[in-house]
Amino acid sequence: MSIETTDVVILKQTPFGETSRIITLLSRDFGLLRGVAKGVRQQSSRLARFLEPLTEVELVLYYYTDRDLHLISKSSELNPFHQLRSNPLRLAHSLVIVEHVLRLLPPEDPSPQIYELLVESLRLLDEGAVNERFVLLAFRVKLLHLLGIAPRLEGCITCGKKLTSRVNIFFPSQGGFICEECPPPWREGRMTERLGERALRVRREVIALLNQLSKGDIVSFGGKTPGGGLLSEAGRLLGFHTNYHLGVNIRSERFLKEAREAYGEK
Amino acid sequence: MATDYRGKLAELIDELSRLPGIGRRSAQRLALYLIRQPLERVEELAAKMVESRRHVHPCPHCGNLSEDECCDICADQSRDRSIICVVEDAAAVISIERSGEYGGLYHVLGGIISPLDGVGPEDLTVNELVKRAKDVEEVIIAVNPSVEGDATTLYISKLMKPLGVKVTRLASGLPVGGDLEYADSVTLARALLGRTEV
Repeated sequence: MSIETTDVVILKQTPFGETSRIITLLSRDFGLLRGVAKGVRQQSSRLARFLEPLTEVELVLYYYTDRDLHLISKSSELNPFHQLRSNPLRLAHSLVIVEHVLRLLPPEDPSPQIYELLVESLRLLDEGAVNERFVLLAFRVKLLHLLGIAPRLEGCITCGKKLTSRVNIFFPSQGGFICEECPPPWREGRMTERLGERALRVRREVIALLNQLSKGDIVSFGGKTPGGGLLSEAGRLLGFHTNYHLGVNIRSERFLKEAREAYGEK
Repeated sequence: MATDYRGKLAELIDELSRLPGIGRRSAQRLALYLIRQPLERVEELAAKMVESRRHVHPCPHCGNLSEDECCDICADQSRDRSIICVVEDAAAVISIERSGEYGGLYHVLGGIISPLDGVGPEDLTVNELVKRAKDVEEVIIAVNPSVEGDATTLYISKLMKPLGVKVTRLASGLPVGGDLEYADSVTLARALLGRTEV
């Protein structure tokens, strides 16, 4: 056991016993981990207020190398991101981001880049200067790249040629696009037949957007949000890819959809 | 099965460990306690459980627990019918009633919007609330000041807006006996926003 001080983003709380909570957090130094915060459900707890989800805090914890549940001792505020919680769309988008971290990251495998990506995405949502959908899309693209499971966006995965068609076909089973000149990944029939739920038609502009996001960041767009349904289409591709390879359906997307409908967004 | 217990006792431990907040160890302790009790006492306990399950049901108007057709609060004609206090569960009704400061009606949501757990508005009695809110002047949202509580409040307040109903939320800020020095910035910001004239 060692006593460690580390910057963390609080992701989730679960009641534990009568007065305690299990806190799931992303640490800059230790990755995704869980810790017990004793007595924090009591009104008198001074620790509770610094363990709210969607905040960045500095934590002192008793880190046990032989257990997967550590003990949280002290906490102090770094970034409260309190505007996130006063706007339903920002809140819904930040929860989808948090769920990606909770469900895609392996436990206790530190990645300072993923930590910075999370903090930066929450900061952008908190400030509200950039479109929420755009922040979420950029986060997902970069997260998949950092985890090494991003779809291949440059060229046909069979022949390697540049994708020149206006609409290209993405195959999650192949992790990328197959051009019209190459045979489809099934034995009989043409490319355009039997696509069903196994492939997705994607516009060239969507591929360019995902490429630009994977290499640069939102700042490189100069404050402009891509329109024309590009964000939704790009999001659908990433969701399709993630679901196929990891079997993960992001549950909080349901609330995001409901929040968008309630606020007149499609 | 991890337990060393067998037969009926193991079955009882299994059943008890399904209860919320009861782990395997607590279930063993409870099961061993029960089998040491006189048979009449255990029968009485079992009968009370069955009786409660049979007779206690959610009030068709507000969702609070009741043994009658509608709950005592909805049946009480002296209560202010122009205000509805929205709570997560029936336990919150008891807590607010204990405060002695509220004289309106309630609406029990049957949970709270928890996007990370996949609990959305359609899993709760939000539609019933919208129907009831058409006939009132104010809806007080009395849920915990947590992320889930914020999501629930923001969603309900949006649905209430077209109805022209005043929507309020329980004040949050510094607790009685609290210390400014130790307050976090979210709490302080909310305390400032919700400040009252003295």
